[in-house]
Amino acid sequence: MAQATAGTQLATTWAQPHARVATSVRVDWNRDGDWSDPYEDITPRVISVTIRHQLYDQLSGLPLLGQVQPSSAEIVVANDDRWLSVNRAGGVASIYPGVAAGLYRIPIRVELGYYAGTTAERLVQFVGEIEGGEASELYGQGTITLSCVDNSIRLLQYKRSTPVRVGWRADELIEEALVAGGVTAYELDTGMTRIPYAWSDDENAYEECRLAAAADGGMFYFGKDGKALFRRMTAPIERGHSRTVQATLDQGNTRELTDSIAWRDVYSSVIVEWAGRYQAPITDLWTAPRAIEIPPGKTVTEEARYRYPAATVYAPVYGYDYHAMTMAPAAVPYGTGGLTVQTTAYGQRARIAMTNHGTVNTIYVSDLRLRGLPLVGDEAQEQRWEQTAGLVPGEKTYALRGNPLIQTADQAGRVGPYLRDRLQRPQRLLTWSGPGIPWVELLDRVRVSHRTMTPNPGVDLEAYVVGIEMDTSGGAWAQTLTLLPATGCFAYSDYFRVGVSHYADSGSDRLGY
Amino acid sequence: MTLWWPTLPIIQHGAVLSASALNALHRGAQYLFARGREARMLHAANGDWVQSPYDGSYGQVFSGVAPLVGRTLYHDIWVKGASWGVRIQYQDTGGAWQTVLEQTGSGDGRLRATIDLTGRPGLVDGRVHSWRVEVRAPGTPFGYASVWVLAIRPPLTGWITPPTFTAGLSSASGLNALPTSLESLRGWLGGVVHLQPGTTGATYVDVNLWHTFFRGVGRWKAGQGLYASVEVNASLFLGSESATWGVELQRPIRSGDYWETVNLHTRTFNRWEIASGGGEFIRLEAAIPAASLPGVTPGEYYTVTMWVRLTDAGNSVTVRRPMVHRMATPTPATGWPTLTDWQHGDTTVGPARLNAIGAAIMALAHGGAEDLAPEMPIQGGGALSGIHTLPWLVYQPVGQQVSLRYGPNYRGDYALPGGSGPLSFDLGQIRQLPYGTRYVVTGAHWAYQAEEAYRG
Repeated sequence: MAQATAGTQLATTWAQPHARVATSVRVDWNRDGDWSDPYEDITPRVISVTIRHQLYDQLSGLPLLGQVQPSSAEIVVANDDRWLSVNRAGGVASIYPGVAAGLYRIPIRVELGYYAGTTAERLVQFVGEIEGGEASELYGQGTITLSCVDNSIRLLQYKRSTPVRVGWRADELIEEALVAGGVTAYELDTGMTRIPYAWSDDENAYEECRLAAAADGGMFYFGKDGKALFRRMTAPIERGHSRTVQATLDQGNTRELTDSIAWRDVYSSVIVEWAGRYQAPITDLWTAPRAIEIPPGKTVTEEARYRYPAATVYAPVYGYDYHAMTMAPAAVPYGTGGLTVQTTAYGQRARIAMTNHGTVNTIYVSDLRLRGLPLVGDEAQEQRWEQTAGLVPGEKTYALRGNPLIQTADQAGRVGPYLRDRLQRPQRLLTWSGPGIPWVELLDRVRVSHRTMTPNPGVDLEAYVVGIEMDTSGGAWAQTLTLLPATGCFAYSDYFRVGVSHYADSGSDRLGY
Repeated sequence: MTLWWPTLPIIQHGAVLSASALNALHRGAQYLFARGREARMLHAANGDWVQSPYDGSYGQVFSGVAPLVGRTLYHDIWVKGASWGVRIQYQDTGGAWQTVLEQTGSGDGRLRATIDLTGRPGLVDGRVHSWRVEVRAPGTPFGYASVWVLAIRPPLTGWITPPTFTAGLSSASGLNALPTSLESLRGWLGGVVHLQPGTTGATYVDVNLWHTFFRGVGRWKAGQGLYASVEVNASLFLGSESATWGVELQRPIRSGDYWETVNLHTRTFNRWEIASGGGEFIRLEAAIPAASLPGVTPGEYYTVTMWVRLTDAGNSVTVRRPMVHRMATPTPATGWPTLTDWQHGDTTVGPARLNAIGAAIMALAHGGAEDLAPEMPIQGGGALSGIHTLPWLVYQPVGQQVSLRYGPNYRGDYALPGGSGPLSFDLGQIRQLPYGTRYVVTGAHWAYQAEEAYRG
């Protein structure tokens, strides 16, 4: 969603030939959540900024719109005084000891804009973290290149396990992963369908979010302001900033325009595979391979990996699911006078913590098992949607398979046809290069109007922004937008939108799939 | 997960409304319609009046079990005697009997009401509890009781009355009322379907008597007939000798000591017919159309009895595995709407078609023309007859040998796991038992079908 420009002159200054670029780069050295501590503003040191946001990956193509690498930024800063070198006495590391080990996982925020007279008017272009810094020295000039990743960095290395979630939507699954990963700023569309069973088993949280989004045909990414975003498949025809033009790109401020069609983005049919699961009767999910020895005063934790995933796992019952004794032999009471067992169950494994509260005898826990109701997988099924426009010669099929969160025919029935509509027409992809437009975000609608740059009829169309690359150096701010024309992405442009469209027995707006 | 139950849509302000979302509402309404009209087995009722003990203490009239699918107990108990007392009890999780109704009276009576079980001690949702009905009288003359119905009724929770759609601005809240009320109705079904107990084998030799070997009760649904069957074997010595099997309907109107009875079906069989079974039982069947059920009222309970009769001395007849169920009829009651599926690109998102979904929902609700009227009867074991409707068979084995019989004359035999229970068995594992087919379970104290495996 485009950023607000109210109260600024950015709408005009961005297009002025000699607009003066306003830059701000701040680093939250002490990770306290603000950008106002001493030396956190490193703008005077900035030599260049390169930022990349994208929904479209050239290699993956249109089928995987929104399933791309995280946004990144590369910021070259002057370091002649070695102030940013962590081993320099009196440098940043001596002021902020938290960075003494190196420039890693430090929040960073980039704002760019233009001056209106003497007033700097900036909008945020990137929020993320420094992933690393590479120092170099050339002819006595020291620089550090800060490599930054958007806030997905918090999820990229975070592996987690969860209980089985029954009937959750994609946005609910994503929200859970975000919160667990420490991402507190997010804006998530409501998912289109409920997913019968979902769980994580030591899986990457970022990948889980992408899978959940893809199960809905949607997109998961981080915005310029660092917010995690989930956009469902129909978002481009629902959201206001995707429906109305947010910027007009005309010949007066264009540096370069390319227009291409990629064969990899065209398919004559789409296949979507789903595989359901059902809950089976109670069974032993796990049995301990041997007796477990618990020394006095100690807690022993067993990691139990189930034979099947399970939505319901019963805490082991003393005397039924396990026995406990000492070598005396003597029975061990349950409770703080003997043995306690604490079970934390996830979808595919559990952690069983057994504590020996005694001070003398070792406790032996035998025949330990976990019982539960396993989830058994159905055979995979699939459905095919053939092209209806008849524009693609030959047979070329895109198969959406292997997403474990696509579990019902309903899910497939919504994702498949929309995907088919997007892929069955050769889609033009434009790249527009010109001065930076501060407020434009991914998925915004822009108008490309270039009647004089090319032979008639030229280009005059509306398109979604699916990629933003920008670079500031030498006082200029250049930006390249990757644009997907809005016409042809969906079968119709007048779909029935709840709360916007009107009920009518005939002549209403059109139903989606 | 319930077979065929659709994933109902989430409708959000600003979102594109999809044909599949609206069609899912159709699927939901049609699923419930089918469940409401499905062939449903009768359930156990007292075969006759049961007399109180001679010493004035309580004596058991009726007993059975049922999973606790709700907190409403419905009972329909006929009583007679100069003076009587009746009580209904359940067994709590600690094994103690708790009384939910104790009533005294005199003369002929009918105790027919619902009892709120909320807050009763030792009841656990989903758990199978034992129940019993007892009668007492202060000595002679004795008191008598006949239990027609003892059933748990599931709650209707989360219900929202569907709105009336009119031309104008659409709204998510209005549309979301439809899936909400459908889910509510689905929950109302309780996720379970009962089986019908019957004798595992009874032999009769006395002549010229109507030997009643089965009595069940069912709640009549408009337009529905009955299917009745029994397996018989007999010793009929001369070629001309025969026996007769009959099916009767009792209306809930006392006629002297008994109830108004309507003969529904009689069938005479002879030794040659019995011989065609090659020594095995033969199955007698009767399909009784709705038109043959006189004066029945939708929603009312009726009992059905089956009897056999010998007319020649020296003969004998053995009956087993009786079953009676409502016959499914696909013809909806008056007022059920036509639900024509939407297609992508349709421009008919208007009151006419949306209100049709609302009309279907209202028809399925309490008091509607297609009232689902769900309940889980409390009943005992024996030969338990069922129709494969839900994925799971939940049962309590008597011992190691539990048998599920299916196919022609129920000669197909699948050995279910035995031992201690309750156990859950996925009926889909028996390929010869597709949905909609009848089967008989023996060797179980009780059994019922469920959407989900037993949780305990």
